[in-house]
Amino acid sequence: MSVKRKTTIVVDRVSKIFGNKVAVDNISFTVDEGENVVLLGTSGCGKTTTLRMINRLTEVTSGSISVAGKNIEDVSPEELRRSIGYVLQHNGLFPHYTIAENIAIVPELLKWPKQKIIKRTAELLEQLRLPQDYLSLYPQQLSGGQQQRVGLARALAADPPVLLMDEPFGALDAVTRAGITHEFCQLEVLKNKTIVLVTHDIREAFDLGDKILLMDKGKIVQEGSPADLLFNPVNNFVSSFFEDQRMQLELNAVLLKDIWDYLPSINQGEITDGIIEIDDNVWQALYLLSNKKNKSIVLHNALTEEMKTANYDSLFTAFSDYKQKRYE
Amino acid sequence: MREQAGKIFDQLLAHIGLTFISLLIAVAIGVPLGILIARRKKLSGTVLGFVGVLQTIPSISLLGFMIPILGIGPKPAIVALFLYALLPIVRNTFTGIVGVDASVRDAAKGMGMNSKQILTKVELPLALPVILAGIRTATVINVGVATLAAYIAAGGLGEFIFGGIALNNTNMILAGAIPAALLAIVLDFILSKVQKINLKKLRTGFWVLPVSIILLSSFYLLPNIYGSKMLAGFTPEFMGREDGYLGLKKVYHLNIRNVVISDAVMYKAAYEKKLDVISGYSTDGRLKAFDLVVLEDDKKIFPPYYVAPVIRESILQQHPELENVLNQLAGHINDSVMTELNYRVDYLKQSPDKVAKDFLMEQSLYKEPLNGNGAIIRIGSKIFGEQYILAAMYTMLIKGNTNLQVETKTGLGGTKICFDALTNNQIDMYPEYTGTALLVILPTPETAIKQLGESEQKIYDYVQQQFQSKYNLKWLKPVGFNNSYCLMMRREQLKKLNVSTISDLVKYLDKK
Repeated sequence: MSVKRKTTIVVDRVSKIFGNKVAVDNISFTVDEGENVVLLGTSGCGKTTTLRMINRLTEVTSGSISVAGKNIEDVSPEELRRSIGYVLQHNGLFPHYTIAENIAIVPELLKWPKQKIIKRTAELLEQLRLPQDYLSLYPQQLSGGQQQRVGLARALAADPPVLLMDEPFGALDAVTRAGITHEFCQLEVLKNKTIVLVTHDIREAFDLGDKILLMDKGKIVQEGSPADLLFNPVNNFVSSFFEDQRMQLELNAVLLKDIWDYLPSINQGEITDGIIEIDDNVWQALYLLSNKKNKSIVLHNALTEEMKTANYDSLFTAFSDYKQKRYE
Repeated sequence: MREQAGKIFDQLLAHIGLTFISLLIAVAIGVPLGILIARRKKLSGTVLGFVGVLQTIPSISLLGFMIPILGIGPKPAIVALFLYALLPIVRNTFTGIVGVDASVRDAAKGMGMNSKQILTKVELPLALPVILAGIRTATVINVGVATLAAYIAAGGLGEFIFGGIALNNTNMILAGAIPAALLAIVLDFILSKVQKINLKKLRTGFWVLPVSIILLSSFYLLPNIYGSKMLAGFTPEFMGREDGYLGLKKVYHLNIRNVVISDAVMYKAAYEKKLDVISGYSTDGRLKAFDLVVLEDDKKIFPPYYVAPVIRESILQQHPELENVLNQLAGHINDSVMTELNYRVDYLKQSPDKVAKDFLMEQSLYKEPLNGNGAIIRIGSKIFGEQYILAAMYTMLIKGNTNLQVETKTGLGGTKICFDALTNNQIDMYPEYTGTALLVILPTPETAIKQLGESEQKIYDYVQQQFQSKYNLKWLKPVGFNNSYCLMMRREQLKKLNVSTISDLVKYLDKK
């Protein structure tokens, strides 16, 4: 984690005023290359406006934004947008275009040769695990989740380094949503992308974000990793924001390697029933335990090749020890 | 009739042409206008309101407004049709584009499309079904309104319809009405199919539509009506009558470029030099108003048109006192008196009631109404001033001299409508002209007409006897004036050309 990465997006003292309403109030943040940053907040907090200012769908009132070292004001809005992937809540697929044509929109705008477009479209469909014969269908013939994947494919078509996502799973039902969020984390094509994602869903933010910007009334209240926000809230607003789901979020946010030191060393003779890597979180370990008969599992540290055994008691003890340490 | 039947196809083509030329212009202006107001919504209220108001102007008066500006013929007709087609096209374009899913438009913008690309690749294709629905509505409206183009000399199927109504000729009405109705149905059907073809193919349809509209427009090869020496305007009725254009051709060998035009706008068009010779009625008040002069009918082809009340026999039997009351008017009005009375109504815009009352008082025939509660006599009239005045006079005479009540049903289109109303017991009496009865209502054989000659008394007797035996209708005594057909011209042109009879006019026309 200590590898110094390049900064891709710089938002510098940006404000947006609609009429006499301040939507975004003098905010600054940066997004590193390959980083997933989540803008989290309730509706009306300014998160979507912030996102839309990055590809100039909304123009800033004051301040400046640069993407990949270039001030966005120096590029024409159309050119800028073609270089940034954009995924919308209501997928925004063109109903009169086939799936293939929808995916090809940006490459067409960039005047790619026909052959290259066809190849790229097929490739994306495969990467997003959609059958090839979908290419000639129309969006309304696909399910909501499939449409959202096509929307993602369209955003990725010209292989932009930066993706902006506005509540990408917001229009989906809870079950589909959980599935696609999980799938999303696994997608190889997204691994190296710099992503700014807007959501009001705390779980989604924790699942997808390397860094979360919690916004309220046009300002960034706190910026940090999920664990930072949970364990070191800067004020009451932040702590109360997560209160409803705190236990689950904490178990999700704390990795097994975080609590490694607090776990007892290997308990010889214990019968274990499964193994888990310490890059996974406590929640996953508990989930694994709940499915095993012997209520004990092995934790594997891939770096040192060390192992420890753990059960409910030892996990919770280590977890609360770790928490106490964090809060101090 | 056979000659007319051959014209149906030509008029159908003219009709299609009129419809589509105006439609083409309306699409060319309406769609961009709709796009503009979809982009600048502040303008939409004003623009939609304005084109909406255009739609509410009665078609015939809109055509009337056009004459001083654009003359007569196809030009004003096309402009009027264009104005009517505008509302559905502008409104549907606006609605279609505004109705495009906001997230689709947002996505298009977010993908990096410029506003022109968003318009042509997203908004227009998605709004197309709605725009097409507007064009479809406009087409059907135009097929209907285009029948009225015949009123201002633009041709089309309306010529048959109005000619037929005027000439009491049902077949002729149907010859215009059926093709017009079929045309509307067929075009509506075709456009409904175009509207439903799938979104993908619509992109081809985008080009097919304007091309076919242009193609159909070309059916209407603008007749060169301004080229010839003189231009005549005749009413549809006059065109089809033996004692009208047909007689002029046969007896006088008159050969003049002519257009079919409504009586309502004909005099004004002559006054404004859009027309040189028009057909008309010798007692028309507009003769005086527009300073027109009647050409003498030196070969006597226009039979006398003495007016007299025609009344149902059964009503006379129930109320025998009516006969004397109605006959009080007999002999009181001559040609110049009638022209003067018509002038007051048509030009000075006095009400027919006032004119009728003033005249009756002058003649000491007026009596205050008795306000009786007897049976109701229903008096009809055709749709022009003279008939209104006569109907008003009869109403006053009946109310003042009997205890009968009167209900007037004025404004019954033409001869056919009036006569059918009478024979179908919808009205009890109306003023009719001997010549009309002879030539239009009764299918009088040509030999009989020849025998009767020009004798007004013989014609009156013949008509009276025929009506009695065929329809149980009675002609009362003639009022006195002769409102016959005539040709008329502007006074100064008449002087300049030194023309006073129809034969003179024919000579002048044949000279070159």
